Amino acid sequence: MSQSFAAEAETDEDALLQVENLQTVFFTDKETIRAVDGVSFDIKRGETVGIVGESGSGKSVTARSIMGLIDSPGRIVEGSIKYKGDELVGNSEKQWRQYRGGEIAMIFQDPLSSLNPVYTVGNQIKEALRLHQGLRGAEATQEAIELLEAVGIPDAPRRVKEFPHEFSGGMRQRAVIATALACEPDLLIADEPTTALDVTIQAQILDLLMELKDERDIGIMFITHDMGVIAEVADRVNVMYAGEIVEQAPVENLYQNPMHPYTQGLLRSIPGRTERGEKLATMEGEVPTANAPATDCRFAPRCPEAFEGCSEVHPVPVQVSKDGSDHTASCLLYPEDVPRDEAVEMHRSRSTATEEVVEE
Amino acid sequence: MSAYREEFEDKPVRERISDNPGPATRWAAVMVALLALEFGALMTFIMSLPWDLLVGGVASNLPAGLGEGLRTIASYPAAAGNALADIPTLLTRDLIPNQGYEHPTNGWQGTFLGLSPAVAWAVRATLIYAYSAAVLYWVWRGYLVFREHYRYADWTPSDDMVERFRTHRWGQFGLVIVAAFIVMAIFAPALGPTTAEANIRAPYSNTIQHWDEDMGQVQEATVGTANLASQSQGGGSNFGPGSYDPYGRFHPFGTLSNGKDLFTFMAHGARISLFIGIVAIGISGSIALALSILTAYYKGLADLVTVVVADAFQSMPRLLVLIMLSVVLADHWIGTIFDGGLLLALLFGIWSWPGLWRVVRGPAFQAAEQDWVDAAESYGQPTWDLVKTHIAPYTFTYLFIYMAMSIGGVMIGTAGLSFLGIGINPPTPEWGRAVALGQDYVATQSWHISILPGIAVTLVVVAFNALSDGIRDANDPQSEGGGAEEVGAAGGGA
Repeated sequence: MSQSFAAEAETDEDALLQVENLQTVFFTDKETIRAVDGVSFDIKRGETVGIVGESGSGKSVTARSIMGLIDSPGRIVEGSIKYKGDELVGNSEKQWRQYRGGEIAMIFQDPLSSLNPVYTVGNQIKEALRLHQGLRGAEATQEAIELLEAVGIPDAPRRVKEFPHEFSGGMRQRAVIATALACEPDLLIADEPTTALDVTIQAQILDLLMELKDERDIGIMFITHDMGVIAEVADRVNVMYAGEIVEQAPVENLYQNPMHPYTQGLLRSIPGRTERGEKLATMEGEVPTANAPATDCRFAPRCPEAFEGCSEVHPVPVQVSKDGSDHTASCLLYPEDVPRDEAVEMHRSRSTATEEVVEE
Repeated sequence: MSAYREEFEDKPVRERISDNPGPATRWAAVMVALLALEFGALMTFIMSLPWDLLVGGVASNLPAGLGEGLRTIASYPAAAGNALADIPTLLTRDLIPNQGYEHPTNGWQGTFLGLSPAVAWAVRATLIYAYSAAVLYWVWRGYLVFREHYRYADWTPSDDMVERFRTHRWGQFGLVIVAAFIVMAIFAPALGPTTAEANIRAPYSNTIQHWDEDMGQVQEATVGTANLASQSQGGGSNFGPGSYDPYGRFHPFGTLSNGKDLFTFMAHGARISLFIGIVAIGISGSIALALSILTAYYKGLADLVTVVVADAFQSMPRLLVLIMLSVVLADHWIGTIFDGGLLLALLFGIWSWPGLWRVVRGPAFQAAEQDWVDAAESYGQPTWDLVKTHIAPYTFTYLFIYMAMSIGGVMIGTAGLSFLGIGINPPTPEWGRAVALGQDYVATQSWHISILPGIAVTLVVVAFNALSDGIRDANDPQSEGGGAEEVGAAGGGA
C-alpha cells in the first residue's frame, strides 16, 4: 500500500471509546494554554492503548477530559468523546457521574495520595461498592476481601481493615486497582500507574493489569512517559507532543519502525537499546506550551531533521505504514514517496481545510 | 502489630459493648452517679438561658395564631425544665451556706457548721472544683475505656495526637485555665459568696441578717443598704480581696465601687463571656466552614465572590458598625436578651467570619486538591459525600484551632465594648464593665476592682490561645512555632 493521508473521521462501531479532535484549553489570567489540541484515538474492548510523551505533553489532561474532571479554568472547547456511542462532551456534572466509576474508572499515579490516609483501605473499597453495586455491611466487606484477593493481596481479610500507611507502595497500588474494579468499569484509565513504584513492583502491577484486562474484557488506556513500560503492555501506542498526537501505531511497528523524528528521539534515549559504552542520546529543550492553534510543527525547534517548511506548515497525520497496518505520523517528511515540496503542499492544504472546519 | 482486633469484625459499637458490658457498665455507673449529684444544677444552668425572651421575640414576630402556638408548645419543655431544675443537688449554697452573722459569744450563726463565711465559701468552692475535676477525669477515663475495650482499631492517628498533647505543657496550662473558666461559668450561682439576683440585680428586694452591736440583736437589712456600706472607692472606704464588710459578708475578691461583690460579678460575667464567645464563634465558624468548602470545591467565580464579600466585611470599621448596630437594635427584642449580650454575639459572629474563612481557605484548597478527592470523584462519588468524607473533616481540624483562638478575640472585644459602655448594659455583669467601674481607683487601695477582672480576661484569652496552640501542635507536629496566618484569626477584639 502506498503512503497516503489518513482517512478522516474513521468511525469504528465496536470501539469502546472514540475520541475525535479533542481540544481542552485552560484560560488563565496570563495566557491561554491549549493542553490538548486536536487529539483523536479509539479504544476497543480488550485492548490496551498506550499514550506516551514527556511531562507537559497533555497526557493526563486527555485522561481527565475523558473522565469529565477538567476543573475551572479549563474547558473542553472542541471535539467529541464518544463512549459506547454516547457523546460525553457537553454533559452536565450529573450526567458525567453516571459514567464515572461504573463505566470508566481511573487509576492515579501516586498510590499513596490516591487513598485517603484517615480511612481504612476496606472502607474506601466499600464506598465504591456501595455506589456501584449497592453492597453494604458484611456483604460489602466480603466483596472487598475478594477484590483484594483478586488483585493479589495476601491475607486479604486482615488487610481490608488496615490503613493505607500500613501498605507498601505496590500493595497500595493494588488496593487502588481493587477500588477501581469495585466499580466494575468497562474502560480503565491508568495514569502513570507504575511511575511511583520500584521496577520489580512495576512488572507485577503491569502483569496484574494485563491479567485483569483479559479476565474482564475491559479496555485500558495506559498513560506513561516510560517507553519501556509501554512496549510491555500496549497494543497500540499514541505518541503525544505538546497537546497533539504525533504518531500512532501498533506497538511492534512503532518500536521497529518509528517514523516521527520525535518518536525516534524518544526511542534513542532509552537505556539498553543503545550499544554498551555508546553515549545515550538526549533531546535538547523541553515541551513548549501551546498558546495558540498550531501554524507550524511544534517539534521543529528540537527536531534534528527540521527544514524551513517546518516553521510554516502545521503537519497533519499521514499514513506511513509499509505493511498495511494502521500507522500514522504527523510530520512534513511524509509521505516519503512524493517530492518534499509536494508533501508540504499537501499538508498545507489539509491543515487549512481542518482549520476551516474548526472555524465553523 | 496487628492493626485491628479479630473479635470485632463488622459489629457496630453497640454490639461490641453488649458483648463485653463489664468495663462500659462500670464506667457508666460512676458517670451517672457523678452527674446525678449535679443534674439539677445542669438543668438550672440550661433554664437560666433567656428562653422566654427568645420565644417571646420570635412569637411576637409571627402571625398571632402561630405565635400563640409557639408559646404553647414552648411552655411544655419550659415547665419540664423548671421541674428538673428543682431537683436538689449536692453543691448548693443551701447545703453549704456561707452567709450568716457573728454572735459576740456564740460565734457564726447560719453558716456551714458554724464556720466563718470565708472558710464555708472556700469549702464550697473547693468542692465544686474537685467535683468538676472528677467529672472531667471520668470523661477521660471513658475515652480510655473505649480505646482499650471497644475500639476496633488498636491504633488510630488520633492516638498520636493525644500522646503529643500529653507532653505539651503550654497547651495543658491553657486547658486547665479554660476548664476552670468554664466551671466558673457553669457553677456561677453556687460558686459566688452570694447570688447575682440578690446582690446585683435586685438588692433592694432581698434582705440579709446581721448582728447589730448597738441594739445587741439580729437585724434585717436590705442588701442594697448593706452594699452602700461596702463600697470600695479608695481612701477610707475599701473592701479588698478576702475582706469582711460591716454586715458580716465575705468578699473573696473584694467589692465593686458600688458595694456589690466582685467575685459574684465575675462568676456571672464569665457566663456571659462564654455565651458570647461560643455563640459568636459558632456562627462565624459555620459560615467560614461552609464558604471555605464552597470556594475550595468550586473555585473560580465562587472564590472571587467570597473574596469580595469578605473584603467588604473586613473593610467596614468593625467597632463603628458594632456601635451603630448596638444603638439601632438596642430596643429590639434581640437587644434585650442578656442586656445586649445576644446582640453582641450575633454581631461578632457575623463580622468575624472573614478572618476565619481566610485562614481555612488554604487548608480547604489543599484538601480539595488531594489526589484522593480526584480518585473519589473519578469513581463517581457524589459531591456532597466527597465534601463530607474528604474535605470537611480535614478543614474542620484547622478551623477548630482558629475558632479556639478567636474566642479570645471575641471576649476581649466584648470586654472592650463594655468598658466603653456600649457592650453589655447593667445589670448583666460583664468583666469589661468591672474594669471600667474601677478605673478611677486603680491607683488607690481599691485597685482590685479593675485589676482582678483585667487579669482574668488576659489569663482566659491567653489560655484559649495556649490551648489552641497545644491542639495545633498535637494535630500537626510540623507546625510547631506557627506562621503569620494565625495572627489574622486571633487578632484582638473590636
